[in-house]
Amino acid sequence: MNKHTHPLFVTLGLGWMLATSIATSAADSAATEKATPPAPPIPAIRALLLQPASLTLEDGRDTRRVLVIGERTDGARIDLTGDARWTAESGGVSVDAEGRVTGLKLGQTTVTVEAGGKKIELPVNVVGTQLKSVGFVRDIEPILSKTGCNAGPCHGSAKGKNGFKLSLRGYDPDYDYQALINDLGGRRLNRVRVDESLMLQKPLSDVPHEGRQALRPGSLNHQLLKQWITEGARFEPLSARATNLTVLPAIVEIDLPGRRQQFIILAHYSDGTTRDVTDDAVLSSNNEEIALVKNRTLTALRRGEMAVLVRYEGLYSAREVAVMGDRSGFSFAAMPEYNGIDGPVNAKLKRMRILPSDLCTDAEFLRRVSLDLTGQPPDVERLRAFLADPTESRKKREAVIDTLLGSKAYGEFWANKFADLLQCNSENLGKKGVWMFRGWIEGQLAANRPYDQFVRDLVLAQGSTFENPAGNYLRALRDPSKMTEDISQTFLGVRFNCNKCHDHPFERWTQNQYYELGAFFGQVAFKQGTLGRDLLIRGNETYASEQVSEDIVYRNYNGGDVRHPKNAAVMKPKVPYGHLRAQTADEDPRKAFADWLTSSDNPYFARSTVNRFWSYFFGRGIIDPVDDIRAGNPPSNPELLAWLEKEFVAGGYDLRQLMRTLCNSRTYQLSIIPNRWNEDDSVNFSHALPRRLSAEQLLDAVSIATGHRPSFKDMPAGARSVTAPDGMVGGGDFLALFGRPKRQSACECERAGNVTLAHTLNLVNGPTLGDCVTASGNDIARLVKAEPDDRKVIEHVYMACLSRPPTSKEIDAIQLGSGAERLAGTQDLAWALLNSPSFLFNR
Amino acid sequence: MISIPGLYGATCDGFSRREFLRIGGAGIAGLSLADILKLQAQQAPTAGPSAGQPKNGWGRAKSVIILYLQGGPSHIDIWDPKPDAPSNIRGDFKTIRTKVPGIQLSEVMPRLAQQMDKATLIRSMSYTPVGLFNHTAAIYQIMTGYTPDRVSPSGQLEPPAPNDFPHLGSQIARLRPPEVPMLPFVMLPRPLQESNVIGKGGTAGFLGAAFDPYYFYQDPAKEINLADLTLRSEVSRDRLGRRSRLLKSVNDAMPAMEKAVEKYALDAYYQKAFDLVSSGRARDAFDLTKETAALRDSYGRHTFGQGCLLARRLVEAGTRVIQMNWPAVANGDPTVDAWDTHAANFGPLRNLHCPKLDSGLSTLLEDLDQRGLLKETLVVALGEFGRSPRLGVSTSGNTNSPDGRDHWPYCYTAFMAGAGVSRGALYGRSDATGSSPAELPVHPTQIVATIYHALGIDPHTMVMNHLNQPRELVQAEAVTGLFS
Repeated sequence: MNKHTHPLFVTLGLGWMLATSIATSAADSAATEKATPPAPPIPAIRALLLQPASLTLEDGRDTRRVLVIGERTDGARIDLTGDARWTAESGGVSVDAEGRVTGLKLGQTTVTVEAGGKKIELPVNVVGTQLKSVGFVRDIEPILSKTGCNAGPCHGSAKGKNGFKLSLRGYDPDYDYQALINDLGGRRLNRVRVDESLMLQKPLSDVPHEGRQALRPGSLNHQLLKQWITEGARFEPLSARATNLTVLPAIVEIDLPGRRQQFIILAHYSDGTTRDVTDDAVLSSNNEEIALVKNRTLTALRRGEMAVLVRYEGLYSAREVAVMGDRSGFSFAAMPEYNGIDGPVNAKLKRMRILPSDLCTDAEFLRRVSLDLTGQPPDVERLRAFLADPTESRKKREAVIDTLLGSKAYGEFWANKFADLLQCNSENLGKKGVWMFRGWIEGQLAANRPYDQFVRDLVLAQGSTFENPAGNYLRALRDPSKMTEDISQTFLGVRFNCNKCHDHPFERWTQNQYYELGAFFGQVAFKQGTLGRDLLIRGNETYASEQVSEDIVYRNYNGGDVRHPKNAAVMKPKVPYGHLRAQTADEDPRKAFADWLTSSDNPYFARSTVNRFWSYFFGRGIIDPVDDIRAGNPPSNPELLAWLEKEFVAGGYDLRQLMRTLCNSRTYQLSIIPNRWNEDDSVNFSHALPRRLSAEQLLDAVSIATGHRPSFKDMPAGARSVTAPDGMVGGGDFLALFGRPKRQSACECERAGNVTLAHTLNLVNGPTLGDCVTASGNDIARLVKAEPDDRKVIEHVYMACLSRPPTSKEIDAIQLGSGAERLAGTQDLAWALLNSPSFLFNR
Repeated sequence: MISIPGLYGATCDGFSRREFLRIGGAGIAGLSLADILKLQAQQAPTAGPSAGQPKNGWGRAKSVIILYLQGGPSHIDIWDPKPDAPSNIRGDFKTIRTKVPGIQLSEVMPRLAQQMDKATLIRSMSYTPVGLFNHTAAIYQIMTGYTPDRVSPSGQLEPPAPNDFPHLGSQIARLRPPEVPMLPFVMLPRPLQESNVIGKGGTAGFLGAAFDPYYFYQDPAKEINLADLTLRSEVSRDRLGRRSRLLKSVNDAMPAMEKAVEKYALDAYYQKAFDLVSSGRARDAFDLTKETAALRDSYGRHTFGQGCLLARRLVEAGTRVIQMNWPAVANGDPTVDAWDTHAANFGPLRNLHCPKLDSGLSTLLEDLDQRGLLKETLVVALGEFGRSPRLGVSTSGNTNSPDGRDHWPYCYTAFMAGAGVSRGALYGRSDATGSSPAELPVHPTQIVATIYHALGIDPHTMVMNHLNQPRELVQAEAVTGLFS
């Protein structure tokens, strides 16, 4: 009954050092448990297509596949590769049961393909049949990857395994070649008695191999290895390495769960040649709830979207897949297009057969857009004015967006957001530092400073942090490692922290690149200045342990070598992709870096910014998570993202314009109420997603609804919670409980938006909401005193709490009570509304 | 639609296997989580420890206290000393005798040595990591019984996700709700955490937010803020009841909104909040000032010690699962308080970590035993792995100081007591260097299975996930040999 295999313990000659084996985990058997739906019957096919439509075979080892696509009578296409039968028409080529075609004789020939009751011919041109010599980079390294020799738990681990170390997944062929040729006194290869080479005996398990048999005797891989050694184990130039991958088919739309889909992976080399590497590439599913990928074949499980991740020799690619499911009865009706956002959204919805929701009401819109742009709902007066305004709805929505974008509250709210990302907390910056830094940020936002220039100021800051508070950003990050990681995560949406200790396991980023990027910041140094030091001398207790004086950010010409941890080599500043402009001899390396970072040629800068802002307004990024952009995390709507990116760059990195565009789209203004055809959609923006109010939004909204503002430590009376400059203090338990970040990380995930028992306990019985509702002289008390008509009291409380008038049915259901109980009854109503999801969520 | 079959109908092995409990599809069936909670509460009395003759520890525990030593404490320096090994393995600490002949501990655990007659040490804990070799992956495994690579296909460290496997405490909270209105599952005093990954493995995952633990993230060694649990002066119990009814009627008028936020399980949370506030039970349990100063001193006036005392009070109040996370980030600085002693192993262990562990754990055992609670409370203390027997080597790719120890999942120790676990015993044995089990290896998922088993829950019970697919609680067998 014991289902998990215990680790195999092997004691080795090397001593007590214990080695690991590839254990079958409990989770592995969990995966096999996933029931795959039965394959649906093949529908009537009117024609077959092949992709590619013909083949050219270049040498005796050039084995290629084609995909067989059936065109249904309604024009839709399904993959029939797995069902096809293959017949070579002459002896010119051989073809196996799975459709691998290999050239035997020079010349033109054909292979006949039969599937779904139809036939089609595949023209094949064999231009070479000789066996090319075997090279390490092109032929051997892929074998080490495919068989898992260089995987993390085996010889690819940081310390290697049992004295044999390879680079993780073969990112460093040079190193691996040396390990095979020279290490162990060259005993791994026996050029005279080839079969006695350790490099063959071990994987074949002719001698004990802890990783068990990794090579089948007589297999193609075995033959290649043997031939390579026989030919003298040549390295061949690095240019023989694949430079990019093509994944076929280009568009994958699968009709029903249970259907299978095959893929072809082509590697392109810098000498212009290609090779079919389908058998050697590693394919996996990024969402095993939608589809499984095994042995190069995808099996659809349920309706939804996923991506197949492809990895081959340090190259990464992904192919998005849509599983449609049964959508009979669906008919598409596009939403009206208000601006350039709505076209790509409509197109995607149409393709996925999703029907967008209706437009939200004016009251819903005003609440939503006020919360999103300024962090607080409208007060009753603004709400009444907006609802009473007879202007056409779309026009008055446009107008209110502009009003909100121009308000002081806009700057306050977004300064709070950026203070999170830029880690404005007193532990890093001291008490005075957080005030100055947050003030600087708010000034930049209020003046609508172009985003690229704002970022340049942060990255290039120097001098006194009193005179140039932007310097607080680098000061908060402090060391080159954190600068590398946080700048790339915040401004490029790329996570570099994985490749600090090793090459990124799921992206092309390498450990070298991490330290090369860090080298741009190696000379950034800090020292305490003289301004403000008198405060310390006064010996004020509050300040005794804190720095209140200025810090000077400066360039230390003599210091700051960034060294690689493996060999302690001093790293030269170098960007991980794209082009770095030439630098003058004595120039601060940060300058060229800032040019590269904010360049319109940098594919990540604008893209990650628009995507991040999109997520603030829609509850989810087009790429999500927004700060983890990589090949394996593709956008749900690439055209939409591209349009936003283009607009943002063309408009001069104007954040206010970006937000205006987002809010004016029809997509933003959709209702949260789903319909039959979009209720299962959460990635295509076919309806608004309810988002729990952030800690600050919640507190400020309670204050507006009740007219009572809780006071914060170190803050002026009546201050909004979003103006508290420090992640460490202000607002006390309530803000911390509801997920206000401490601002110690560049990760958006530092801010929590969940609901737990601790939250409901606090809302039901905690001091914050309780005090606001019952505070003497608050809006509720004044209203009850001044307004004798119960119906009007109820109406006002609904508008104050939920930003909408109540229905007459809702009014009829409420009894406020009379005399002294009337106040308590009104408080209870406000309490109940403030606890309802319509209040707790932005909707 | 909802079927909750009799959980422990007689079969040849004493209880029925492969129970299919539907929860994922419950919303679809038109029942709210609150309804399900009610249904389960009605079902509960038919099951449980009284339903059959306890054998092999089956169903002996009413509650479980998990003292989770996140970071990975060094087994050789605490539980499994190797006085005869070379000095680069043996380390700096001497070995001491305990109350049980034949069981020795490290000298840094003197008080626990006097309580060893109440507990069993499993010195043959062992597993080989699958994929990621870091804290979070290991924490996720011991908390949920599953490895995380299956639920985060990117392999990246990711924050908790709704499709995560549930923490065993959430499963227990659902299958064995408390018999009184009390918090079923409390996690304190800070989250599971490695770097920026906070709370992975510590949620109800696919069971839905309603089964998340009550996160009591306060320092019990300081004054505890009980405002949320104490009925406000202006709100009488009647008024709270009125407000609760008013909230329901206000929400009933907005069904579309309720549906849109269904996954947040607000109804269930509000119901629990009302119950807790009006009963006052939870508030009393958290009030450590009701204990004598002498006892509080004995537990130790630090976060861990007072947390252990709080755990005992929660057990008395009816909480099923209490998880006390070691109050430092898993991969934090060892010279502050973290068990991750890549650098500076011995000084911090001697002066910081072990005195706290020693006072908290030993007093907890003594206190539970004196109150007669140890026989129905399972106490488990362990981390996500042990530490490399040899000093100053790298096993995880991290750098280690010459006196540091790296991660070592291949052999480590778990501490178990109560609920029928043998008193004063060893289970399994490590080899001469503490590098691998010499006999009776125990996989961490078996500890998960053992906890279910002790609570009278078949570890192979099937639970439906969010996609209505059956998932076993854990794919491992309980270690019944632990029990006497």
